[in-house]
Amino acid sequence: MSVLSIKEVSYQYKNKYQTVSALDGISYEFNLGKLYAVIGKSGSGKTTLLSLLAGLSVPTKGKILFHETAMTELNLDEYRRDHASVIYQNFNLFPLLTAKENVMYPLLLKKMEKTKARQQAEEKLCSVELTKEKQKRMPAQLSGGEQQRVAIARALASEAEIILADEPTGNLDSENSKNIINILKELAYKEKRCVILVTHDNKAASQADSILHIKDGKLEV
Amino acid sequence: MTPFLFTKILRRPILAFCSILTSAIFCILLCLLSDYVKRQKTEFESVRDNFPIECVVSNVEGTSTKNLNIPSQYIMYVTKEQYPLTSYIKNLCMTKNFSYQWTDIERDNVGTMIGMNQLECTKELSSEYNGKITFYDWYNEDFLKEERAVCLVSTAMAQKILIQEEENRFLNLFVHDPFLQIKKEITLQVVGEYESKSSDLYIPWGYCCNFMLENSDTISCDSMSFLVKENQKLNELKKEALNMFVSIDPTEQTPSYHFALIIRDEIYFSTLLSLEQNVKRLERIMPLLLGLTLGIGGLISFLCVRTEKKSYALMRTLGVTKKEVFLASLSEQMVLEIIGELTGILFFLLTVSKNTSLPVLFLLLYFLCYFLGCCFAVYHTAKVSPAQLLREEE
Repeated sequence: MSVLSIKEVSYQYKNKYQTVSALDGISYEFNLGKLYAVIGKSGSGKTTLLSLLAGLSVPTKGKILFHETAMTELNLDEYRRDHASVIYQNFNLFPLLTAKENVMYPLLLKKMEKTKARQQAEEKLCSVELTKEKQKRMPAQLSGGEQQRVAIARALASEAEIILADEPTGNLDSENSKNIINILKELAYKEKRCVILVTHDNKAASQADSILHIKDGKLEV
Repeated sequence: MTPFLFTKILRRPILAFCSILTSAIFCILLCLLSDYVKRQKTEFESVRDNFPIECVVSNVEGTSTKNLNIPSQYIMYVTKEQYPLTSYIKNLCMTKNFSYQWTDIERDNVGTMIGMNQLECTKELSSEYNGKITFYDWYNEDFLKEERAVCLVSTAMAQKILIQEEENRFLNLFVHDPFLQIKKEITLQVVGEYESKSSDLYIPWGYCCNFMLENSDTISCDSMSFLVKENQKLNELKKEALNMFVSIDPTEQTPSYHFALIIRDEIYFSTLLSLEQNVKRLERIMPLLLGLTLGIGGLISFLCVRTEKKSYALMRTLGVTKKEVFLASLSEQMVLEIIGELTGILFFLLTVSKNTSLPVLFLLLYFLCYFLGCCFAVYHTAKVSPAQLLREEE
């Protein structure tokens, strides 16, 4: 059984000048324990797809099913809190919270006790190889690679089944990019998560189990 | 409550300080204005109730307030309780003048003997004008309430008659009043001296009335004045006075037995009007200040939250609901506002005004206006779409 499936999904939005059809009749199924790569040119609709899968937007046509339940029937805030986690190109950490506090955040949202949340946050940060000293630093005091690892640790901490990564290596050098992809692979294979990676990087995409090409809003598998 | 709410406030100390300071300043301004309005109102009430409005009896032309020979009927109007005018007046002053001549020292030494009912009737003896009186033995200012033949003399006269020797304290005088047709010899005991070079003697009103009655079967006074008892009943006093006194008529040629009453209320009314206008002007500013608070609350909140738009979008992607984002942001702003308001109140109470109460209603309105301003600013900023984060990166 797939964890996520999209059936004839289309998405349109209006800008100042026209109505844009970002996605057009896409269907696909995503399973746990696999790494998926979504590639395509800028403006092809891959970020829109990610946005729909994360429950951040609602498709104009078609359905997105999570464990066979239509997303329209789910509480999307709960879905985002408990089942899906997004990793951004620009890291998007809370600038006023330390690395540790950033990772504690989703745990505290789930009403976890503060001491326990702190412990778990430390574990997750250690698992992405961020030292204890750096865990106390603010995001602005960390390098790009370190910030991205904090973002991944936050996604890990939320224990979401679905990890959606939007160009996670876009702002990183090759060494850090390699490390990040390895971590994502571990998430998919060892932790049995469904990892969907949007990327321009063909090298990164080549490591995925399935590659989805999006071109002009249509899917080419 | 969303996590790390207060941590975020503490980690933006400058913004927090500015927000608190602005709130405190507005709060202090509001308290100051309210306190000033309150004091002005108190002053208004004090003037309205306590301002001394003097009423002086004069001739019909309004040209003279002395030597009027006011008959006993008028004295009854202002002293007997059956006459309504008495209930509207206080501090009644009456004087009666007689001419006197020494019988036993120097025959050409003359002066005026003045009967009066209180020291305030004349400036020389009045405490308001720093009149200095030295009483002998056990006598004090209550001597005017007596009906005995006692008097006050000036210091110059006391020196002349060698008042230190006790036997010289009894004066033999020849007293004369043309209106009442009195000519009589009397003996007065000197009970004190007032600082002056005058030859005037002052005797108690009681003795003065008895003297007049014994020698002429009637009493009169030469000047009469009083204060309005309750300023708020001034119109009633005026109405009652019309039954006894005529209006001032400068064209009056022939002498008459009628008298006019001069009511010195111009300053009273002008002061009252000025205070009233001031209070009204200030009261108009209060709503403006509250309206400004609404705007300031919105502006401060807007400036604080506009940089947080991305954080709000991130919170939404992590599963925080719209309502929780709104409440978290509003709580952050209102915590700063409450700290600011409390700081302002404390500062006001400790430094500016120690003997005043807080304008509780206005402070609550202030809080409400700031809250509404915050709600408006936060609502518009917090309803950010979580998808915005992804779109910004595309």
